[in-house]
Amino acid sequence: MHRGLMIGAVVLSVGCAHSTPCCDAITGSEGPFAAAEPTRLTFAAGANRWPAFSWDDRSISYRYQRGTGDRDLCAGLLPARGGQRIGDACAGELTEAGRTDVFMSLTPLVGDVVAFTRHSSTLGAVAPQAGGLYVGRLGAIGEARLVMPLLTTPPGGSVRYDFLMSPARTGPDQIIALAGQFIVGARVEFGPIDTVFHGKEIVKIDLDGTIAAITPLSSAEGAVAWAFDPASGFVYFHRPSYAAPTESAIYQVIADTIFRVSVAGGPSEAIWGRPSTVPFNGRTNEAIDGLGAGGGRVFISMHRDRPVPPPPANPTGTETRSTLAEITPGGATREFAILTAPTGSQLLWGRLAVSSDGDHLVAERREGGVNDLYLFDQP
Amino acid sequence: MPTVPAGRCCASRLPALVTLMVTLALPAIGSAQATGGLIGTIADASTNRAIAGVEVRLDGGRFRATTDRSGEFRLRGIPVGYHRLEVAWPGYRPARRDSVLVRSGEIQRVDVRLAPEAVELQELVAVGVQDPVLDPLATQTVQRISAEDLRRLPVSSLEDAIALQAGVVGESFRGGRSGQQAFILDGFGIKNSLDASTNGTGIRIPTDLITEARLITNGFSAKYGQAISGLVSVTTRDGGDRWRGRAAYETDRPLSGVADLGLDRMVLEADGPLFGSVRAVGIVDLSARLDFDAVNAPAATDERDPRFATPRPLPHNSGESWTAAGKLTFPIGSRMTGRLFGLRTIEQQYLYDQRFKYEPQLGPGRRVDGSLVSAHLQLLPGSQSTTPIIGDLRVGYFSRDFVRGAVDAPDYRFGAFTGRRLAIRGEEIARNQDTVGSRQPIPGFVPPGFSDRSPWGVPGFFLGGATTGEIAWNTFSELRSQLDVAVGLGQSADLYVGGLVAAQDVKTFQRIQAYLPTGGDVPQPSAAAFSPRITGAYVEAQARASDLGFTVGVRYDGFDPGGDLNNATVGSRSSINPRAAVSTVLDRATIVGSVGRFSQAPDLQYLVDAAFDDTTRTGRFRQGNPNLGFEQGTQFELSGRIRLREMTSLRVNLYTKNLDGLVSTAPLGVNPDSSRFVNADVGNVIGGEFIFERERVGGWGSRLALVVQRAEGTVTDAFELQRLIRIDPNTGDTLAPPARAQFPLNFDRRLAVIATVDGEINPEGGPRLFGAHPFGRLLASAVFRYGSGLPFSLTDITGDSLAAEPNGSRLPSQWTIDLLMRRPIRIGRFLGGLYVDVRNLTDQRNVLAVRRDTGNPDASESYLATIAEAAYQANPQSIPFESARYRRYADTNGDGRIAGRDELFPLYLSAARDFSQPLFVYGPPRQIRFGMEFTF
Repeated sequence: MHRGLMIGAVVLSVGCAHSTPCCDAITGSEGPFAAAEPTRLTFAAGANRWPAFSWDDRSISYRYQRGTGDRDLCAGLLPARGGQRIGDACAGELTEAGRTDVFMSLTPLVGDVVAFTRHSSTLGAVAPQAGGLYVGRLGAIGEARLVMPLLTTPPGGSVRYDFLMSPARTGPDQIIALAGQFIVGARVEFGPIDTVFHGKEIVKIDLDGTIAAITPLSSAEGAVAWAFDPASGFVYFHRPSYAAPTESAIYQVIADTIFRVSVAGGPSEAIWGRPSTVPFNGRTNEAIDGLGAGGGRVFISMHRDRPVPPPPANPTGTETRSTLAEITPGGATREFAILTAPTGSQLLWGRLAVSSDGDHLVAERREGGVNDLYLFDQP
Repeated sequence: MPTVPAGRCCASRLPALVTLMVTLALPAIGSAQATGGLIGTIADASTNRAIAGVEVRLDGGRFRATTDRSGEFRLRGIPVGYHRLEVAWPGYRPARRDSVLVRSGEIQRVDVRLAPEAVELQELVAVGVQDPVLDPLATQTVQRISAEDLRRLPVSSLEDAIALQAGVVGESFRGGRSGQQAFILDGFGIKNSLDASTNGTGIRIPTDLITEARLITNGFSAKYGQAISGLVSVTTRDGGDRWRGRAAYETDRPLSGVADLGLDRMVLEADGPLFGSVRAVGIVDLSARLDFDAVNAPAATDERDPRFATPRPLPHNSGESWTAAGKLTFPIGSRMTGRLFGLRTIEQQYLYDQRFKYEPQLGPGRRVDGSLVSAHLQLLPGSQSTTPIIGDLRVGYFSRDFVRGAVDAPDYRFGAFTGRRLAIRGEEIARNQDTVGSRQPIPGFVPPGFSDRSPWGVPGFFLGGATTGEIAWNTFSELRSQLDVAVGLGQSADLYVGGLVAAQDVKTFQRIQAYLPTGGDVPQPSAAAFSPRITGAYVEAQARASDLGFTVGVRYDGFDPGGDLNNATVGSRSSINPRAAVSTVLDRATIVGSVGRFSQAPDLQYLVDAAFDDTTRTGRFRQGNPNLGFEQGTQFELSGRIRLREMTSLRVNLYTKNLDGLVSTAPLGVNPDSSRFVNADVGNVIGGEFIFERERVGGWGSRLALVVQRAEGTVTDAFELQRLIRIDPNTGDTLAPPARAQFPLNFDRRLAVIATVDGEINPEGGPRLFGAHPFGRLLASAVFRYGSGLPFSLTDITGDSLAAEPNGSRLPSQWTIDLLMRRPIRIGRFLGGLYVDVRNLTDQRNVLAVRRDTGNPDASESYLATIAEAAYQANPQSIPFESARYRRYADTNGDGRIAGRDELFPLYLSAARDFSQPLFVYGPPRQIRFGMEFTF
């Protein structure tokens, strides 16, 4: 299990904002290299990650690397069938140089109004030093208003919230999100790669006041991914189980469980799990890497390492097999989009997002240090 | 061109009853520049004997004089224009002349021979008027622009008309710098003392208000100061005795494509009696144009560039001007006249900035507010006075307010009219001169980034997202009091004395890159507030002795910058400027020799620090010098005016002018961007003007002016470094300048030719169509202008170092042809007219400036490659498909990325070419405007 990436840094900026209102243009399949499946959506160097469909399935938000020396990360909006970005949120160049600023995602609300989180820190800092949830207009991100501070216990919250993972709109002035905390290991440096997310609660946030009003919906202690299915009204979250610290010097996942809870609140129930496996070569050899839900369907991405014939067929002797899969309560799994590569080459599927009708899925595809997003149109 | 008054004749014509005695006339330089005078003798036509005690009446008795024992009379303080002269005496037939022209600052000689009633006479020409060309005591070098000229020639403004005069290059007169001229409005001096060398007065005189304008380039009276190169003296008209008015509208909207520059202009003026003897004039002149600063630049060569298909108009280049003026004239008793005058101009412009070509709404704007309010009290002499005195007391307030910076996108209401005052961001901070608070980033300003809307996509050259963060504001105001007294010393001499005091107030503020804190490359905000004072006094005498005329005068000018300036060690400073002229009349010619010393205080902007931004450096700084002294000039001139034939004349002016103490800059240290203002430049101008005129007779007239001139010196733009002083790069020592070498001055135009011709078809001229003569009364005029190229200096690519001698290269020569056609019409009981005005008829592409590194308007290929390479190296990252910068045509391998040098660099090169295309180095394109007017 790799450590999830979560840089939450919020910076006000107008530098990269588009003036085009969000989500007005559905341009069809704009990807120039559309294959039967999947359609590649991004081509930028670096990490293009954290996909999420907008509430109306007209756009996909994601996070991308700006490529500047201050390691900024920006949030963008793509048309739902791919194409050029229709919205951006980025830090300004000159006033925020020398700081790392990260926009997690853009959650369209109404028209060109979006909600987003932003974290910032000095370069090389271990953890973000400032953060917040903002509401503003695309094209005028610099004028967005802070509705909830992060890295603190907000009014109405029960614990300290460091991040809000991929907020989803449930109304013109309301979002739900997985709220959690950063856990930073002694050997982990703050940055886009190695910070561990630790979910705490599924929360509902009302944005219509000067200050956001927070209502915890369910505990999601230890969750590292989540998804909301508006068709079923269920929230799903993924919680790994870790080996005891005495048994491993790093956070080693030994089991994964998918939980489900109603958006109206109530207890959560486990609906699918992967039991722990015997570590192979002293490492975890199987993990869930992403979770998505929509249209009553639930999808995951996962990978497994397995031995393969010795060299020269495979220099490492181990192969990693990464797949996307639709899961059903009770444990059934339908796999597709299988990737195989020598272990260590890091060819994996990552985080997922599913449209509200369940027919479209966007997945991170990682190859080495490069991440791109691919769109699957499900039959 | 003057129109010959009916009945005027020369000294050689002596009809039986009438003797026109063309004698020397005394120019009344002084009492009021809006007035002139008449002098003459009344004699018996049969005996030639002078008649004493005869009353001479002007305009029905508004002005009166009585002849003395020698039969001489003199009338002073007569408003400029045409007047009706009447003479009656018992036993003689009355004599009358309806069109005696009185010119500003001059005295015409009018001699009258009265025919005895008992004597049968064959002719009845009684009044003769002297030939103005042969007015020997008009010692000033004057070029006149009458109201009729303004109407008959293709000009829209006073500035257009001034540009048609010999010796004029923009606002440079006879090779001098811009800002070395003064402006006189109805005898009242106006000057933008803050930055006349770089900006105008901010007020526009509507042409409908002008009776006459004069350009005086030498020999100007000791009454005038604050000028080295020349004066523009304007006389406005008073209200008439009956209400009349004019409404006009002109536009180029009927045209399409590049010919439609989005022009709309509306003029409404009226004048007439208010009550009793009070006369009023009011005028409103509004104009706007979408392509306010139109240039005839060639279209782009790359079809992706929007200027390939639409080279004009430039976006964010509109402007509008609003002018309102009013004047009241009223008598006070029998000898005094009062005048109140007010004028306000607001001119605002959106400024095209190539950096914001693809996000033009982020370009800067500027606004200039000019105001003038003045009161004039004039005392005229009594009709029986033996020592007539004319006194003029003028008090006026002039202000000019300038602001430039980031503006919101224009919201047009009608054409290019926004109907709103242009708001500049940060204007309040500038007006408060908050140099402490403005050191921090100013709220509302954010740094611009590279635009992603260009056809090239790459992050380079073109900006977007925010403005450049510039705020510049200054205000200048002046309260001036001016007293002028003219004393008549008999019929042959006049004495003029007077003086002025003006209290000025200056405030400035400048901040650049307002989104950054100051420090490092960003200079501190600069602000200034001080209250200078200028004073002046003069005495001048004119006398006539036989065929000789003499003018001798001396002027005192004083300048005190006030005690508010830091590092001021010199307080008040003064200058004495003597002037003298002598003239004589030969057969059909007048010869004038004059010498004069002139001085003006330096622009007040050079007394204070200046911080300004440009596209090549982040911040340039000029240290103010509160101890600057006067700029000075001495001019010698020999001129001749020759009456060739009855309707033609030739003027020849030969002159040399020495300039001294002009403001330039010297380095402060080794940083070429920091320097200090000093009085270190000198110059010399030598030239000749040849002006041939055919007066408007028989329906047409013409004028040909040819100027040859050489202007040399060490004069530079005061914001450039003085090239002759060098800093040793190793020691930092200032190296001794070499022996003073002379180089061409910036306005050294060696040859200029201006030809005008205008004519009017008689009412029944031309073909007859459907019972009418459509070409009857059609007026047409044409102006041809040619000027040899101005000099410029070749430099290296950075502009810091000269690559050849200063001003050692020449721009190409320029020429244009302008045309005006006007046809009166009648609609019902309204009279009006239609006109077509075409500037630059042949759409000549004149080059006004070039790049100093190449000597051409275009950048060299090596320069483009250099800047493209720098931009590519600064941002070599790939552009993915999802980015707004992605351009499909550039993704040659179709992999969804524009990556690598092969795909990226061509985009940077195209962007560099686009960014570097020359625009404002070209003159204006052909401009056609259609107009209609109605008079009532």
